Amino acid sequence: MKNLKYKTILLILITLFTPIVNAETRLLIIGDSLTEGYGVAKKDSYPSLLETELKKKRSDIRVINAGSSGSTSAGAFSRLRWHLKSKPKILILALGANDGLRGISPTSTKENLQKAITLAKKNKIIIYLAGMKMPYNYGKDYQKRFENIFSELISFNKIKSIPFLLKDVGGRKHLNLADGIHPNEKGHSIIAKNVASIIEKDL
Amino acid sequence: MNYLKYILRELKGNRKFTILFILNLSLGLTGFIALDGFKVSLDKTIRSKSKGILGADIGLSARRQISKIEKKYLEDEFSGKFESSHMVEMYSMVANQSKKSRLIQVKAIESNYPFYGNIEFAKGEMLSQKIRDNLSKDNIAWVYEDVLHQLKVKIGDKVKIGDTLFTIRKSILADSASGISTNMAPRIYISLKRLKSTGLLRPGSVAWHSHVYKIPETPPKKLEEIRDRIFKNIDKPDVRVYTHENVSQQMARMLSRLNDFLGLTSLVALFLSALGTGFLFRSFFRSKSKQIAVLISLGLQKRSAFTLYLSQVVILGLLSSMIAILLSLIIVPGLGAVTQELLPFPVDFTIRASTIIMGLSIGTVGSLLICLPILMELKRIQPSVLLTDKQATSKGLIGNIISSIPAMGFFWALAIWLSNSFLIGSLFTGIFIISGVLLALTAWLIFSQFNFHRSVNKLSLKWALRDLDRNKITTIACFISIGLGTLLLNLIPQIQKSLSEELSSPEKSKVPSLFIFDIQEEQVPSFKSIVSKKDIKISQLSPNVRARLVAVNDIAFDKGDGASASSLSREEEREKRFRNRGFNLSYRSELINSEKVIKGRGFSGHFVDDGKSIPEITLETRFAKRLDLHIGDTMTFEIESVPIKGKVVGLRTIRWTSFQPNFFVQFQPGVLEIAPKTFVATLPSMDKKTKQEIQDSIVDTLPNISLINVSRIVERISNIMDQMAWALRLMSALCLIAGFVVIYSIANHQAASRKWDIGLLKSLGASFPTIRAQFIWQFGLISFFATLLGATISLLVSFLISSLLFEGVWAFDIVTPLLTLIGSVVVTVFITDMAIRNSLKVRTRELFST
Repeated sequence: MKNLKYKTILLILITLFTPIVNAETRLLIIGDSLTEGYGVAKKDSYPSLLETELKKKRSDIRVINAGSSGSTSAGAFSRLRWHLKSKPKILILALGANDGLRGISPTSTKENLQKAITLAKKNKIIIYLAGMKMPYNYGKDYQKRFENIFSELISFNKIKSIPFLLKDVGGRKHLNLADGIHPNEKGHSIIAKNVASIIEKDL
Repeated sequence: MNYLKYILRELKGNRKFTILFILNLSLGLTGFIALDGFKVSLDKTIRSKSKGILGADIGLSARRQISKIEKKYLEDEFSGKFESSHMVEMYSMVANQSKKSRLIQVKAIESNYPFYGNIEFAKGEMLSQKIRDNLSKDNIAWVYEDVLHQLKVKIGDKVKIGDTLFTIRKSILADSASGISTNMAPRIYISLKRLKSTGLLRPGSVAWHSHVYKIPETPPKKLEEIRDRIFKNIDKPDVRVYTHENVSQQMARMLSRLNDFLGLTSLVALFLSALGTGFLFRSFFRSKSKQIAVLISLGLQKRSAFTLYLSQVVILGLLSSMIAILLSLIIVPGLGAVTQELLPFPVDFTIRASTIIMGLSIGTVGSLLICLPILMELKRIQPSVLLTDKQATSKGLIGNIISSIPAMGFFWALAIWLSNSFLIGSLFTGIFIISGVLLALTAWLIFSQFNFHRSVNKLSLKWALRDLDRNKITTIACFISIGLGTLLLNLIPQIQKSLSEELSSPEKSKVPSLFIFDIQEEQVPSFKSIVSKKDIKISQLSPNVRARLVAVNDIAFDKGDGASASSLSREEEREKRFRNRGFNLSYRSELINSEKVIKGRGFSGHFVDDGKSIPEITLETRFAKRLDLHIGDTMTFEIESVPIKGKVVGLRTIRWTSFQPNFFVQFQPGVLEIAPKTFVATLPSMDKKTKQEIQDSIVDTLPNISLINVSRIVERISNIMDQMAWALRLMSALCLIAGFVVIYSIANHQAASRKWDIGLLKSLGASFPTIRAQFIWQFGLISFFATLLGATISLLVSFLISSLLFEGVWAFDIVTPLLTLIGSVVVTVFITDMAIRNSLKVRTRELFST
């Protein structure tokens, strides 16, 4: 019975990925609601727009949107392990914002992200770590400690970075949904362009 | 003047009849006024609790400053009579003096907040004006108890909020305005004036700015109207406008259901009193027909007779209404003291002026309209009626129905006014009329068409059946009255039962105290071990898989139509965001006790992939309705870019008051197990120490896991829900009592009106036991069949009303109809027996004299 269950999922994965596995360059984005495209249509989320943008340079690129609303860095390792089956070439790790908003210790967030980075490195995946910032109301001290984990991980692991995922979008009313946190269609479009300009060198 | 003297003499002359008549009518009207008084008082009490949750009547909030123009939109609606309060809420990392920090909800308020409800501090101290004023005088903080524990601080210690140190002056035990949404962190109150010094509020901060208002004496409907208008005027999706009732969707739904239910009880009371009034007046006139014939034969003009009896109706109605009002004014306020011990919350019982006007108008105008058709019969009364054994002329059933149209119209209008809804008022009147017709047809069939008396040998039963056949109109009128009375008195307990089931709180031991989420799959064993070490059993542990719905029946679901936000209305924008947000999926092999499949079926077992089968899905009913999904539809989800397709096989209702994690979409086991997921869990109520130890262990060993202490919220919601359930039960019991009063009146009058027949039977030499048995059979049969049919119709009507008003929440209850059936037959037989015994004691000559 258990075998059948695994077969089902594997079948889906095989159907999805195998026929084009050698023909595609896969870019995996593991993130939270920002990546999932909370409140916008799938085609308007930045991973979909990024794929369109990158296809201009390289037609065989495929972006896998592994965004999950509310997710924290704690799930980074297991989610990456699950997606390894699709053999991604590039990984954008865009987690941590929910950790910060929930007041989780930055040390714990750093450890979680480190575990995922180690696994990606082991599988020879090019890693981009997306930087996150905390709103001012969380206090200067926490803000600083939180932001530092990203720079520390980048320098320690010698990986590439997207300095701030919400660059030119965060805090701008016209680029965000009514909740003031999640980008709208225009916001996603800017994020996609910003990310594309950073990673297109590795394609 | 002469008329008045004659009327009074007439009423005095028939003293016994007049007193009995006024007593019966007064009782019916008192029932109506008292029921309405109860309704208003209970509604007011529960609503004031609901106001306590918001601390205000209405509010505006946004994740930005609210502009002066936006505030003005709202303030212009109140025509100067309001109080307002500004507050700011945000999450922040608050530190103790050892720099240990924790996530805290900081709520900066003005001294007049909250307008409603209360805050209870340690040692039973309640929020006073002095305490309110002191908050702004220095850097003072009031903190929730959890803050003391989490930051290891005590009263008098300082905590750092942003750049400023605040002294903890009070610890909060209970906060009515804590809201009913789950907060991620415990709360600290500081003064709004002191917020600036923290440096936390600046561009780039995420904070809720709210302006809440107290508007004295604004009815809930009006508040909702204001809210809807403001919502339209401030056409900005980032501004929320809410009343105390819609702070929570679940609470709003329950309050609206309570409101509808209480409205129904008023309608039931209205129709019960109309039924009682109508029956009494018709009996009155039928008994007077011979007297009228005598007066006409003595030369009284028909027009004068018409005016004379019209005036009698008005005087009797007026007297009865006034007695009813007096009785209600004495009884209803006194109920506050009586129910203090009985009810779990104090209720201030009052009667509103509109109820008194309604009582008066039913007693006078209503009576008049009910009697008008019979008064019209005066035209047809001839002196010859004196020579017959009939008591009145009759236009027949159809004529009776047609002549009742004005009265029906009057009560229809009252029903619309009382329910404040054309649809509900009309529906209720329609149901009442249709049921009346159904009852009439049944009575006609049973007692008139089958000629049962021919095949019966028992003398008393034979006479009873023959009499029922001969007095068709009286039989049918009595059958309709008892049947409709039963329908009305059964209806409310039936609906109450269905609603109470939804309101019922879980057992105390099963009420969750901790809600835990973001448990990673690999953390589940550690989590279980922490909890089991403290001898606590996990109430529920549910997998949570995040997914995006991409297609329904293979057609793209998301509204990626390219319309920009600015070109969409606020509603369209919201709908678009709803459709494009992700969904939480789960899987369970069995339903939990708060779930019930109401359409379709549950899962067929573990999913077996044979290459053709599609996994099964069950949906929550309201969710399915919102997305227009039906059984048999297929849904395609994407879980982190991997598509999974399922087929809807069942729709579930979820009892949200169980406070357990529930999911809109559930997959059959065997499909999602391998997908990336987290777990959510609930832990049952436990002592404070154990709860803190579990919280500490989880924070230390599994730091990503978030815990929400839901005891406070659950307690508050349970409290209000319990009060609603009490209100439902109380009103239902009162309706039963009022219904039985009406049935008593009907039985009493029916029995009294047969004195003439008793006299006749006595003079023909029938034995007393035979006469008694005949009348008991007669009324027992009418009562049994009428109650049986009335109760059956009430089941159907309660199902219909539940489907229309209460989103199909309906629970079958056999106890109340059975009790009504037994109660009604017993009351009727008892009253008949009493009346017959009295009549048998009286000499035959006297029986014929009235």
